[in-house]
Amino acid sequence: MILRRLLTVLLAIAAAGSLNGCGFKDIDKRFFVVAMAVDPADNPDKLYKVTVKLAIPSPSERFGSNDYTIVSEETDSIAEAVRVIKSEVDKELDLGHMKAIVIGQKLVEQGNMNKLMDWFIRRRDIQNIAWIAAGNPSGKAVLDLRPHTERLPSNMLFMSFGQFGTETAYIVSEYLFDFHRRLKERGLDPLLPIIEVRDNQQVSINRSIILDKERQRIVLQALDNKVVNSFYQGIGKYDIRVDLNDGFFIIAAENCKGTFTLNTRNGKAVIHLYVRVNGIVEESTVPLSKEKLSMYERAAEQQVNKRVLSLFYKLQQAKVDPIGFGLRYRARHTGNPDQVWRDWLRLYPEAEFKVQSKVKLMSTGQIE
Amino acid sequence: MNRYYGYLVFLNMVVNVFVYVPQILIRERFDGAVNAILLAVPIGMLIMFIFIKSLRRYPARSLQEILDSLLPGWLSRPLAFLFASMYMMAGCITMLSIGDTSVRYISPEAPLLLAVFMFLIVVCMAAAHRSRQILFLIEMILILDVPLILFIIVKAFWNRSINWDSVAVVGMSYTHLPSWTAISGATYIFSGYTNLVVFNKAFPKPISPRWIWLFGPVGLGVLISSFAVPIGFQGADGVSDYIYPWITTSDSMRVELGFIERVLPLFLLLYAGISMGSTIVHWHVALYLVKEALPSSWSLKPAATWTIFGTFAAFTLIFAFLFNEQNISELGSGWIRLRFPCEIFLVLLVLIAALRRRRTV
Repeated sequence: MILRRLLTVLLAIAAAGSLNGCGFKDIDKRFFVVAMAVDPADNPDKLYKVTVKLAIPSPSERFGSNDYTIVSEETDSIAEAVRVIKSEVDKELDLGHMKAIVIGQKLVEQGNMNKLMDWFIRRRDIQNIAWIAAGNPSGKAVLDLRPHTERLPSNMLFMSFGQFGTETAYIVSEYLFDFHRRLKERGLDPLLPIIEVRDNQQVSINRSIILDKERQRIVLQALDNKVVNSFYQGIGKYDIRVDLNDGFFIIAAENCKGTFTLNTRNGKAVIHLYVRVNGIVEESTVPLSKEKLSMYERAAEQQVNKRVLSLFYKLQQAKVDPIGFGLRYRARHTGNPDQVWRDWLRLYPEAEFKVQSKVKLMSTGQIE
Repeated sequence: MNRYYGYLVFLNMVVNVFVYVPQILIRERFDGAVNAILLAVPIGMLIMFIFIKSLRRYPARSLQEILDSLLPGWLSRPLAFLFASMYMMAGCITMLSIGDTSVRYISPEAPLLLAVFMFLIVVCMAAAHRSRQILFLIEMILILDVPLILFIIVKAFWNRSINWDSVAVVGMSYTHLPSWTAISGATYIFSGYTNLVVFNKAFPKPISPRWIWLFGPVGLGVLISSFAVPIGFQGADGVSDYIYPWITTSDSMRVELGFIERVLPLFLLLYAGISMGSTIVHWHVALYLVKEALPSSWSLKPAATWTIFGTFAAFTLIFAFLFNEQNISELGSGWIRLRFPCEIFLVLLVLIAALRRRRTV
């Protein structure tokens, strides 16, 4: 019995001894990559310019303690670039904390997104819940921002997305895994928020790109972006401008949720879009009366209908489908998946949209 | 129903994620995996019921004793060895799978051989204990792990990122007939009861079949979630890109207000525990099958246990040394295909033995 125990202990020690410890590296020998950007290369012989943003830890965390260093490299593949970058810094790169990926908008216009995403999906240590976005004028410019309001490098990007910090319907948030899913899924097209660099180390993130499976097809402006978001993530915090005869008023929607149903009749697809808005009046150029709330609601509904219809016909003309009408069609029809998909490709360009919106105004705010 | 019997079956249900069941079903998602899942429930429940019913005639007997009452020794012993090798392979595959994932996601610099070796030490030490102690062990593992696994699954179903249209796209293939592999993979969920070939001895009273229908809905739920959640997250078309769809899916969830934002480390830790529990059970069964099939002059020697485990470990290490990830996953699918006929054969043997016993008694 004792012999057996002794033997086990020896065995365990032998096994532990064979762990040579190269898997563990002290934190002061590591660089944490917080964000990464990929742009087209300046050198015409190369494909990509890969930029990594390395956080420099500061002893105390306070506003403005967002020191970082940026390293760029031009190669034909991201893997090579990262390996080369390793030779240009003194510490080991750790990609496990990378939470934002910014792709230069020019690269999105060029296309080949599937090829580009391969490295990010294949690497085991890259978070699937990293945010992905397009950068304008370039991904590197977005990374090389030093807002005074940050406590950690690139924290501004992490807080902007996912309603984590700011809550607004203008920002579309996209996870890395979701982007990959949409690149593959027939009937659900990818979309990317655009991060635009402004003066004073600021950004604006209120436009977005809708892609087909390879490249940019259409850029949505802020107003359209809101509508997409109400269907995509059901985010409220939405503002609707309603024009009256003698002025206008603004509704602040607490929640705004879009849903749709899809019918096919006589070889024609009809897509019913339903939008539900609950909100209150936040600003008005004309005096409003509480008795007329329902009239204001009707006016607001017309406004919403117009916006929604114009957006979806725009998307239809660009032959993209970020909301997933095609996926819904596939989800309702049996048979060979490829055949069903070909049917939908025939149906979508002629599909008809019908909107029913329901606006509910709770009050006119603190004044009438 | 004895609750320890429930643990045996439930452990086998939960561990399916790590023995290539989701991979097999997802590979055939447009060719009848849906029907395989729906068919697996009645098939699995029926053979489980037959087995439990038959075993009631042999209270506290092991497989060897049942086989000996039916067949001559020169036939029953090799049969016991055959079943033992199936159990050995089951544990072996689970261990290779968890070794491979822990090397890949936890400690990329460690060689696979070493990772598997470390698991082997723990598993062999635990599996050598008495059957009752192993039942207590899996109770502890399940009580510690299952609440957190439920948390992950509930989190997945309530996640905004899960797209039910993608799941429905796959559901639309319900017109296809399921393949043998898919059914075999799906019925794996229910096959925890076969561990009774050894554990029957640990139960003082025979298992009553009164509550076992509960495993029907539970098994269906487990199957659907282990099949539908990765599809909902990674898309009907994109899900097959991933070698370990469940690990990728757990990495696609975000616990914003948790201690750690990523679910992946939690998931790996939980499933390491579950897989170890399952391996311990399987190797314990294999050990006793071999021991009872051997002449008692051999099996009563103190070195017998360690010789047998040494052989098992040697097999596992050889696989770990020779095989890469692709081979391991092929070995896993191959074993799953072979498992189903073996299981039916086993149940038939026990059934015939039980019928014979009724006639003779």
